[in-house]
Amino acid sequence: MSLAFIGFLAGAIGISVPIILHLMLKRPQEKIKFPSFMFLAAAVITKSRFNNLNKWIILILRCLALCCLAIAFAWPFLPKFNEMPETATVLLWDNSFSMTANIYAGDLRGRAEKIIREADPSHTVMVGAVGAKNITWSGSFEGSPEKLLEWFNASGQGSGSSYFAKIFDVAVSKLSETPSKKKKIVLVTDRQKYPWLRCPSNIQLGQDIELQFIMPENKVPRNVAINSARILNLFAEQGQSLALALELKNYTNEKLEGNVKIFWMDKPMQDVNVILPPLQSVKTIIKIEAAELKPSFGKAVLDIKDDMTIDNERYFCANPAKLPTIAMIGGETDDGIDFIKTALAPSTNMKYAKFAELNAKTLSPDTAFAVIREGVEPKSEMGKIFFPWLDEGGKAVVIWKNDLKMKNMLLSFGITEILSLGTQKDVHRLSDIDFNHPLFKPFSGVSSGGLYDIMFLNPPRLRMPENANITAYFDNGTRENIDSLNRDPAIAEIPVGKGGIIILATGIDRKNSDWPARPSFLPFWREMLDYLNPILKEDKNLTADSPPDPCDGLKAVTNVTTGEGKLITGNLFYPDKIGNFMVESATGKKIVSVNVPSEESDTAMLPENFSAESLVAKDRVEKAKVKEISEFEDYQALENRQKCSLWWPFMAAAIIFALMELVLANRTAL
Amino acid sequence: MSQVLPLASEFLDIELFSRLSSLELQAKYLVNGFLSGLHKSPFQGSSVEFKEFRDYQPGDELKLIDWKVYARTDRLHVRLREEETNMTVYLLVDSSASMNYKGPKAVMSKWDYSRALVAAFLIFLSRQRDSAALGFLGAELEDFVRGRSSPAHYHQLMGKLHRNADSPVSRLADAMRPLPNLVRRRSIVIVFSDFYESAEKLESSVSFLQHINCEVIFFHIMDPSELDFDFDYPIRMQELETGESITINPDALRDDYLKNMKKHTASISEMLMGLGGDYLLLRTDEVPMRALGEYLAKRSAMS
Repeated sequence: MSLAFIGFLAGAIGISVPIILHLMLKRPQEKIKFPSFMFLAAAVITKSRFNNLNKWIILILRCLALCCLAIAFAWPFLPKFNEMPETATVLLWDNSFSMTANIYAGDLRGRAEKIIREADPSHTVMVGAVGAKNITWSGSFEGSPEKLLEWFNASGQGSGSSYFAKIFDVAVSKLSETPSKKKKIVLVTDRQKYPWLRCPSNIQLGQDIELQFIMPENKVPRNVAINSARILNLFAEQGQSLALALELKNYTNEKLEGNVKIFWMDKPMQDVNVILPPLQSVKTIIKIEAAELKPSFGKAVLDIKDDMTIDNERYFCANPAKLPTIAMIGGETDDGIDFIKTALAPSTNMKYAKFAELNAKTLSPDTAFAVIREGVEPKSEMGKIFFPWLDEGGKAVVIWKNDLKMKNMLLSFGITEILSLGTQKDVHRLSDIDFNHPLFKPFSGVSSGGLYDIMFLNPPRLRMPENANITAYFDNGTRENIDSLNRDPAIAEIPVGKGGIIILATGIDRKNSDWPARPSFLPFWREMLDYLNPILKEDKNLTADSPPDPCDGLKAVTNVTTGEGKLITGNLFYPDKIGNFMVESATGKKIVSVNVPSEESDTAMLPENFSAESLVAKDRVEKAKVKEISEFEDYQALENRQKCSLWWPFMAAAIIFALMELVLANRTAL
Repeated sequence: MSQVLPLASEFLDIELFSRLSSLELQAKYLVNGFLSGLHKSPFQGSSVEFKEFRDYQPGDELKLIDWKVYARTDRLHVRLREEETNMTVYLLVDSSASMNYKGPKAVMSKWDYSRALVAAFLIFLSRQRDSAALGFLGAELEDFVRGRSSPAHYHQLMGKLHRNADSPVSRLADAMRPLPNLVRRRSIVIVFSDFYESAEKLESSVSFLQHINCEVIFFHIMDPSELDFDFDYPIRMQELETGESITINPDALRDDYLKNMKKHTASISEMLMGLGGDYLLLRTDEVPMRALGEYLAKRSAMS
């Protein structure tokens, strides 16, 4: 029998002392004289013997009742293992999808199952499936291989990623819950580098804990993955064309050719041939004709020979939504082309937004943003609408125009102009782009999306207010007297009231820049639309094993079914499997796509000399003691250790002893 | 057993009796109270007058002729000796330490009660011109004074009562052993005691007295707490005679105690009555009028 909260036993000792003293020392205070004990003698002898015995019986019963009560509070239990097991092993299974690489999946799984099959009451095992944010445990330390294998087969088929920063601390904590002569942590993982990010290099293990890694032998899987598949434009009209943006990446050193099949509503729609240069991403946009305006889904399947096939499928969806409105003022060009409109509504069938002239009606809280290409005077009719709208949370993109009205308006935002002394033919390009900003993040990569190739002719030299966030600068071109502190901002974000503006310090017509002719122009404006339009922030694309943020639109879920209509769960949406899911909630029905995390597709591997010992701290602590159950954070730890709780028989015994004591004792001295 | 004089208790108060300052006053209180209630007594036929003369019979000694009576009456009468008409009453008082007990509900100890009663008897006997002898029963017969009837003798006996019950043990049977050499035939022997001795041991002494035609009266004097054992919380008791102490639970022992006590009193009573004696149980919270009546009944039976 073991005790979970041994400290309570002290209470029994402490309480017993005054009781014992009371019984041992208590004497009737009153003493009287009596003529003769003649009539008492016989009765007293008999009774006093009985009373003495009675008194001791009562004392014993009281002590037994208190001791049983103290033991009950100390939570006695029968441990799962009568004798201290020889070994206790925590088997950590990397539950990321990269472990499915067919060149080593069978081997790794087989070696994990071998450890599980060797479990018995003397060699206990607990299995943990390591995910991105938590570890799922098999329960308590088990000596039954069958139970462990059943759990492993059901839970060890992850679709997400894994992360090892804290797994060893958790494993050590689990081992402290169980007594055993030897303790072991075994991690089964591929040699993928990603999970080891921010993993400490001086893991503290007790001297009695052995750490072992099971990894494939220097095999780097060949992998090509579809890293992204998403509909760019809003699904707003019946019969609308949807733009599916695909990003594929080749993680191998060789050029590969493959075929992407597009399925829409479970029907094959297109086949696209792709050529993938080594170690490079390829992006392409595929047009999908959506027949009905309803929650719709599709998947892209890459048909190519590689070792990890799970990331060769990508699920995407399109839910009906209202087209955002962009209110515009000015912008007529000499050739009559409005490049922004062209970028965001390239055809009648493919629209990302609808446009309206800026006025009191079009400037509303539902307006995505405004495009200001002419200066607005605060006191003008337009100004009386526009500036309050900004203060109340409106967002505007201000595009430079070299006239007084624009300059006066920029002055009201704290933006001033330094007169340029450059020549008329001064050409500048972008430099120091903040690729962490959502506007530019999609362009990060080897080529930066060609942003550095854009030419700007005589851009103004603007000075931003202190609260401006400058996301890109112009290079100095041929300008003189330009130093690192006085570079010219090209794109900046400035808060105004509850809203704000993004200032482009350049015109975007052909006179001022060749940007509209560059491939980056259209995606830039689409990113601008995504960034400024809150509706589009609704995340319907999730990764497996990654719970949705409560701010997402998945609130108060009432039903989740697969894309085929199979009911999964009633009130919780936890995407641990990939696929398309119909989610019903208070706000209605919509499709949510769950895909594998793209970082797991990266086959970058650990160095060859990477070993368990290299991670463990040199100054290992002394043998860790088995933790008191009271230190555990949850009741599960106690459940893991105990086979059978014994608190109730001790509590019952305490009650029985107390009742017997009451029966035997009376109101007199005893 | 004599009939009780119930109305005497109406005007005799035990509290008052106990507060009387001297033994003599207590005794007179008892006697006067007894006598004043006597005219209401349904007890008829008893006589308190004693004959002093009788007619001359041939053969009587001439010196016994009372010539003064002859001068008055022209009849020859002889004067009888006191010893021939008067009774000798032997008053034996238990002087063991147990007699010092005074319980919570009593107003006087058994010893004081006994002394007052004995004093009352002395006054009563002196008026009756009976002889009184006095002795104290401790470990042995102590301070025994033979029977006389003179006032000076009664005074002496009264003085003997001014003592303590200081015998460490009570051995009534042993103390009564010398009585065969001391007690005259056809006497009354009254024993005042709490009788913490077995009836078997007392029987031999009583049977001898009965053999010499003595009337024996036992006045069993007990405190109310001895009779009722009405203690109701755990106490530590110390025996007066031996000093031994025990802790008892009265609730647990009461039934056995009362049973043993009643058995003992019954055995003494049966033993005594079987031998022709009388037994009277007296509580120290009651005025002992009955004691005097009992004696009176015995006295008249023997006349």
